[in-house]
Amino acid sequence: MRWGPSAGRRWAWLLSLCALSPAWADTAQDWLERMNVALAEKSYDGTFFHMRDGRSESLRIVHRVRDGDVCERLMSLDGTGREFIRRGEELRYYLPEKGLVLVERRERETGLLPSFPSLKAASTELYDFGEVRRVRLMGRDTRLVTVKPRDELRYGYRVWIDARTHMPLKSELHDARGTVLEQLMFANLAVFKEIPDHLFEPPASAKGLTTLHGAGRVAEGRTVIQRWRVRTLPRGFRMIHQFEQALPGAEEPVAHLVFSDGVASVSVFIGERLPAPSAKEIALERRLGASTTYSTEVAGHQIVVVGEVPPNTARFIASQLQAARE
Amino acid sequence: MTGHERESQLSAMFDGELPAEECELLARRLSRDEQMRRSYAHYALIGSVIRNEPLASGAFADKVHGALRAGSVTAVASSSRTAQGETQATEALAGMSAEGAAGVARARNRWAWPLGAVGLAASVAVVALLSLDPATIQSPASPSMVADQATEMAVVEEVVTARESQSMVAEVIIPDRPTSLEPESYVTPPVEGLVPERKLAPTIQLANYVVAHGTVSAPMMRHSALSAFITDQEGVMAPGAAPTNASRPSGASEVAPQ
Repeated sequence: MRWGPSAGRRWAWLLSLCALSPAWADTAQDWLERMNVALAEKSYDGTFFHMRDGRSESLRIVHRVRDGDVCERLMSLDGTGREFIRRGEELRYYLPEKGLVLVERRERETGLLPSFPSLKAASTELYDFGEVRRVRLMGRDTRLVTVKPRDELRYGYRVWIDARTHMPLKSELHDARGTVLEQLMFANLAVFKEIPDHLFEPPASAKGLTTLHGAGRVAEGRTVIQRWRVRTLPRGFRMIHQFEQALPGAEEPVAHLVFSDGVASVSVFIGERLPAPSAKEIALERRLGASTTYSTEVAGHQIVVVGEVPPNTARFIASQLQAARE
Repeated sequence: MTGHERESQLSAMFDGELPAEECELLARRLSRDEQMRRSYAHYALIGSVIRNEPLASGAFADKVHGALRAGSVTAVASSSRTAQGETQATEALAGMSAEGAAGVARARNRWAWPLGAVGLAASVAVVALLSLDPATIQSPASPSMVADQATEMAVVEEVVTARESQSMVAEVIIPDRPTSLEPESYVTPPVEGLVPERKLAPTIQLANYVVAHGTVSAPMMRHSALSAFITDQEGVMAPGAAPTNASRPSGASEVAPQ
């Protein structure tokens, strides 16, 4: 085969054709990765609606990244006036209706992105990452990314991602049958070069509140963790982290195991042995937006599962915990 | 006229598709019908918030302004204090107060958005919002929610100080309302007594666990979970099924513990 000018033109034509083909366009995972980077790395201030269970509430989020330090404030504009403020390694959670401030310290994150799972690792056997559609929303050019679960062990998502800034303007959480469980939608949103410090000061309602401190992460893989194992995990899930941490107001540290399928993550918290194990099993379950919280007792220990998974998945993971001999 | 027909008419008014004479009749009904005012307040709130403009559309605004100036407002003014509050909130949101009307007109000229395109997008968004759960719109709690949101959207303008440093703005993705059109301030009703008092410990624990989980989940999931907890009105775990009932999910597989 000879490589003449005409052959070169043919290759150039073929390559340009490939570049125009949808098969070579950015994938849903690409857009979701960009969105996660934008949410973690940009400085922004916006008001959004959170809709679930037939209710709609407005919240404001202020997020700032300055020299690698992350400050974030999330406040309810309706109802209880709860707030969450993160300044560097300190997390503060204001519960004015309970007269409490929960304070937790975290290790300073060296990178901008915290240790959440990479979407690149998400298997197409677990999720159907649909074709990315170009959609106009609220006057902006967006990409509509659809992630459908292939079984009932996980949730699906539809996210409208701003094409310029990669910020999510709207998102929907739905179950395997397509029922929408939650919506988040920005009413206004702006990206800033700089956001002043005073926006992360404690709210006026913080005066007179009782403060409870926690020590944060204790160590990797110490004693409590080594006494537990998980018999079986839901398909596609694997353990990605394990450590012990002290929670605000708790006397003893808890073991924190983290499982992920590449999109959703599930935390399992194992507390110290309860002083008096209950005679009958008590289980508490709650859905909070995309997250399920499930609490139960296993071998005399309090177990709490929190994750962006359906209740059945959280329950199943809890039921598979097994205490080794103590 | 059925509730559905009224809703359709109201929707048509917002789209500027209702003939002027029907619009006037509807405006009169609006001044008498409390349920209708609630629906109107919702349309106005959602529309104005989504579009970030004080009026739903020029045609609608002109018709409603005309009808209300013709005397329909008198009925509203003589109604109960509560209804008055709702109407004021509605007017503030929709930019329909007498003082605001001139400013609204000026702002509309300044507002460089192509209203047709925005209106179409917003209509889709409103439909999505309304179709999410009709109970959200029609529930007895809705009027107070509208009032709260009206209040809060007003208050947020006072709190937002990042916007003071406009030179720092890199990009306004979804613009806020023009500052010259700030509505009057309203006071948020106290929340004490609205939230049922529950046990303290589970609230603290739940907050701890949600926040701790947030550090290991993806940003979008974290925002969702934190938002859900912050807006959660119960703040305590509710009883659920025991783990012994947890059957093995169909997709479960044997995984060696790590």
